[in-house]
Order: sequence, then C-alpha cells, then structure tokens
Amino acid sequence: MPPTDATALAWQRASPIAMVYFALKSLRALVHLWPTLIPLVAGGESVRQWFLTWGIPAVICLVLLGVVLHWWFFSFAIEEKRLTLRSGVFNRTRLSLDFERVQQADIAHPFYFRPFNLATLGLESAGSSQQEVDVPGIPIALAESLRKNILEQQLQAKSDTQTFDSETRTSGKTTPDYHLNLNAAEIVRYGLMHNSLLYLAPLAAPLGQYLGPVFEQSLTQLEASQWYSLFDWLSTNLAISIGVVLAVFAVLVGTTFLFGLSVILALFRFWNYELTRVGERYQSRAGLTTIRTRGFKTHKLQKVTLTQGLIAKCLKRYTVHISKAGGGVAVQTAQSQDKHFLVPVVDWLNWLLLRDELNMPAARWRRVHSFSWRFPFVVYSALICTLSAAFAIAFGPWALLGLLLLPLAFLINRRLWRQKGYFYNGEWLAWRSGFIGFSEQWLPVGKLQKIEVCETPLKRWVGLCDLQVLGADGKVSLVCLPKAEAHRLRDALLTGVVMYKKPWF
Amino acid sequence: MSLQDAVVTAEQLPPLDREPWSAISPSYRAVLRWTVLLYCVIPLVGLGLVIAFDLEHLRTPAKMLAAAIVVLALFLLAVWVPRRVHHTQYLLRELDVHKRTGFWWHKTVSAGTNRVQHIEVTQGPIERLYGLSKLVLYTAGGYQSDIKIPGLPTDEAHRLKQYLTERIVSEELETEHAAH
Repeated sequence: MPPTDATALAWQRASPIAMVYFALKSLRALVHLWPTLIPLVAGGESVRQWFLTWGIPAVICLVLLGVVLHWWFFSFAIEEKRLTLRSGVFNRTRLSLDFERVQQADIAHPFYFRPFNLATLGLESAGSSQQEVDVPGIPIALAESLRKNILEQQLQAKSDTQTFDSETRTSGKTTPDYHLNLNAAEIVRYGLMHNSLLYLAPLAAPLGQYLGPVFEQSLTQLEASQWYSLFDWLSTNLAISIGVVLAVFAVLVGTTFLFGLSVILALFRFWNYELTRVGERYQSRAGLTTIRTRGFKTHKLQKVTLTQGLIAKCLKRYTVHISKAGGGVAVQTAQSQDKHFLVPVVDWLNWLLLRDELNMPAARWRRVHSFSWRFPFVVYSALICTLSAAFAIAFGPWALLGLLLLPLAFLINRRLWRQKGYFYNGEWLAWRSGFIGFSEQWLPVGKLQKIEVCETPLKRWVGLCDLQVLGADGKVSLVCLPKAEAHRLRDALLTGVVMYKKPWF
Repeated sequence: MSLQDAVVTAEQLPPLDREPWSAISPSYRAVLRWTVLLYCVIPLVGLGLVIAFDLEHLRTPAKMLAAAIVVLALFLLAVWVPRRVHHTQYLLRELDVHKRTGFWWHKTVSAGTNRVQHIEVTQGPIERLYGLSKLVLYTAGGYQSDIKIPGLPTDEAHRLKQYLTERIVSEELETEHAAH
C-alpha cells in the first residue's frame, strides 16, 4: 500500500475502557514468565524481601505503563472492504484484513465492557497461518454493523464465484432451522462431567506439608467441638483410627470443592447455551460474564467427536466436539479449545437430532480383530506370571496371589477390545474406542488428507494391519484390521477422496 | 453445499497392490549409509574420548556401549540400508499418489492429488553429492501430513513436481467448473 494511502485512512482509537482488555492480556502474558520466579525460590530470604519491596511495585508500574502504551498505539481504520489495524509499541505492526477473507467474525461481550455498551470484535482470517485479530473496546453498534458488513462481503464474494446457495436465501430468515437450548441443570452436568480441575488434586500433596501444622492446630479446636464426637463415633464403630476418618473426610471435602468449582466455571462459560442452525450456518452463543458467539458452516466440518466419560455415563449425557477446517493447525496453539465448536452436553435424544442435522448415519459398528486383546493379554499374563513366580521364590508363596491379577488383565483387555469398533458407509468413517466410557470420532470421507496402512512385524505375521487416517484435524487409527479388509477400506476411502469435488476448506 | 449428496463409493480405482510401483534410485543407499555413519561417529568420538582419558569406572561401560554402537552400525549399513531402499517405492496415478516404505514396519501412505496443498523438492548436502533430491507433498492435515519421497534423481523429482503441480491446477479448475 502506498504511504499516501495511509494518511488518508481515518484512524480511530479504541475506547479507554479497552485498557482493561490490554491489562488482562498482559496479565495472561505474564503468566508465561513464571520461570523467572525460580530465582526467588532458590535465592533465599534477602532476595525475596528485596523482590517484595522493589520488584512487585516495579512490575506493576511496568505493566500499567505497557497497558497505557498499548492502548495509545492501538488504532484501527475501517474502509468499505477492509479493516486495517495498527498496534505495537516498539514493533509496530500493521495488518490489513479484507472482509471477504475473514473466515469468522465473533462478538464477545466481556463483563467489563458491558456497562459501557462496548464489545470486542474477534476476526479470524483464512489461510494456512490462521490469524486471529481482536478489536477491543468498540461500541456494540459498530461491532454489529462491521460483522454484518463482513458477512455481506463474504456473501458477495461467494456469489461471484459460486452458484447462489441456500445461505443467501436463508440469511434474511430469522427463525432457525434447528435450535438447541441448554438449561442450567444441563450445564451443571457438564461441570460434573468435565472436571479439568481434578488434575489439580495431586498438587494438594506437596501443599499437605504446609497444611499439616495448620491441621494440627485446628485439630485441638475440633476436639472441643461437637463435630468431633461424630468422627469419634465413626472411628470406634468402623474400628479405624481417627486419622483415617479425618483424611477421608478431607479428601471428600476437597473433591466436593473441586467439583463445585468446576460447576461454577461451567456455568460461567456456558450459561444460557444456545445452538442454532440457519441454512448451513451453525451458531452457538453462551456465557455469563462474557457472551461468546461461535459459528461454523457445514462444508468446513472436518471431524465430529462424541464422548462420554465415567461421570457422563452415570448422568446419561454426551459431549460433542465439532472441528472446523484448520483445527489441526490450532492444536499447537494455546487456545485450541476455541477452535473447536463445542456442544457441551446433550442427552441421547438431542444427540440423535443433532446427528440428523449433520447428516450422520446411525452406526453399525464392526469389531476389530480379536488379536487386539489377545496379544496384550498374553504379554500381561507372561509379565504377571514371571513376576509372581520370581516374588514367590524370593519372598514366599503368598506372592502367588499376584496371579489373581490374571482375570483382571483378561477383563480389562477384553473390555477395551469390545469397546473398539469402526464404521464406514461411503460418506463417513467412524472409529470408536474407550474403556468405561467411549469416544467416537467421525470423519467425512471426502475430506480426508492422507491414508496410511501400517504393518508391524508381528501383525504382518498374523495377517493384520492398522489403518491410519489423517483429516485436517488430527489422526485416527483403526487398529487390527484384517489385511484384505484394510486394503479394501483404503481403496474405497481413496475413491471417496478423489471423487469429492466440493469445497472442503 | 451440504454433506447430503456426497459421493457414493464406486470402486473405480483398481487395487493398489498390482500397480507398477517405481523404485527409488539405488544410489540412495549411499546417502543413507553416510547418514548412518554420521550418526554413529558422533557418539563414538565421545566414547573414544572417555576411553582415551581413562576415566576410572566409566571405561568398561563405555567400551561396551561403543561395541554395541559398532554392531548396530554394521547391521544398519549391511542389512537395513539395502532392504530399506529396496522397499521404498512410489506410485503416481492420475488421481492419487502413494509411497510405501519400511524395513520391518511396513507403511503405505496414500493421498488424493486434490488434497495436495503444495509441493517441495529438497536436497541435502549428501544428496547433492549423489545428484538426488527428495520430493515432499504437503496436505492440509498440519503436522505429520506430508508425503516424502526420498532418493529421486534430481531432474526426475522436478519433472514429477511439474506434473503434480499441473494436476493440482487442473483439479482446481475442474472443481470450480463443478461448482458453477
């Protein structure tokens, strides 16, 4: 772009409230600097003292200064068909985004913008290096009109190159073709089903040594309270020490706390979740403090994953992930979660409805070869027998009790095998696996990228091979197929791929 | 453009196994041998230093490790390299590209030409010595989704690249026609 053009642009600055956005962003960036805290731990008392008196105020000042500068140097210009952004304090960057290249336009309403009628417009551009651009702190009306503008431009660009598809006709339509609304109870279920905080639980162990003295102090208070009589009663009746009762109690309280937290987080994230389809465009809208709108079009779908974990199984609910084009690239980036289109919790009926919407068939699963469980079982049995025998010789015959693990290994391997299955019907290839719960991965055949037939020496010997299928969103392995079947499937899949003449990205 | 009327499988492609696969250049053996040597020499030099400087209790393990590396290198040079090169074959058809390779772990990789995003011909220093190049086909699956055909004579690699690029362009034109 010639420099004269640049001066002609009407540069606008975001509202000062946008500084909150930049502050939050730089706080997120600060988290990545946590290794710098290592010297504090290693450095001893004087270093820590010095850091508290000078370091923390200095960091705060720097962050504040950075936030103000970031806001000051962030400006944007809107033209008829293009949005140009200037940002950066030292590294000035300038980014032009043609509306017709924008793949997705979201409007987020964070809680700190809502009282001021402001919003963040998030744009995602197409291309191999998926770029994400946020324009924070612009009036909601402007954001809405920009988004509308962008969508219109896209439609125009499309009607230039393609036939008028259903979208143009339905874009004026307000009633969705499909609608799913999740109430609070369902979202609470999601919080219970997907408790990522449980992974934090092992962290409690090192904290335990600090908690120990606190615990002992409160124990004396506890002994005075009437609760103690309950624990005492439990411990005498169950003939276990009071320590065990207290420990079990502490674990229960901790787990409940984590689940409660997870539920609250889920409520914040998915409050009033709404999924709609208009024409071929799906859109979800959810959030308590920050309302997020995400969308995808059917032709961009790359993979559908249906999962059900242990708790979900008890609650009879499922989770559906839908990956869009470019999802495979995004796996490496931090916010991979955002690249997936998530239907957090559906019951069986709603899954059937959604499955129909996505034109997915009912699966008739085919089992993989029984070698899939026989071989690991043989390996584990050999291991268990050898170890039991060795321990029996070394420590006495009671070690032969280890042989009781054999039926367990049998059951586990058999269960794993029974949960495995594949399905192919010309349009979809699906793979299912799991132990207690399950996960089904559905790939549209026409969009597969690469197909591999792998034979390990052992499997070749028994006439089996694995089929690995790479879509634009990751790899799916169909293990232990008979060789002829795998080759037939590979040829059929390839035919499906080369005959697929429609846009897939 | 919904998924509703996606293509129904017609088994139009003949099975792969009976197709005339082309072998890669036999001089790729030399390239592989140099690579193996390079990878083996580096740890051997390190172990040699340990033995030369006579570090007390490290001497015996170092000797054993060095012996293991030498045995491994001999195995790789004499058995693995020829078999690997013999087993690496590729097949170009009008609509798809295939490669198969593997010493014990056999692997056949296939992709439709209409899924290839871009094509690269690369040449390392050792490959240049022997006038060979590597053809790399990238698909859109991100990490791991490329097909590498090593050990092609350089001009052949470029001719294949030329041919495939033309195929891709014509595919794209066809797709656009179909969309109209």
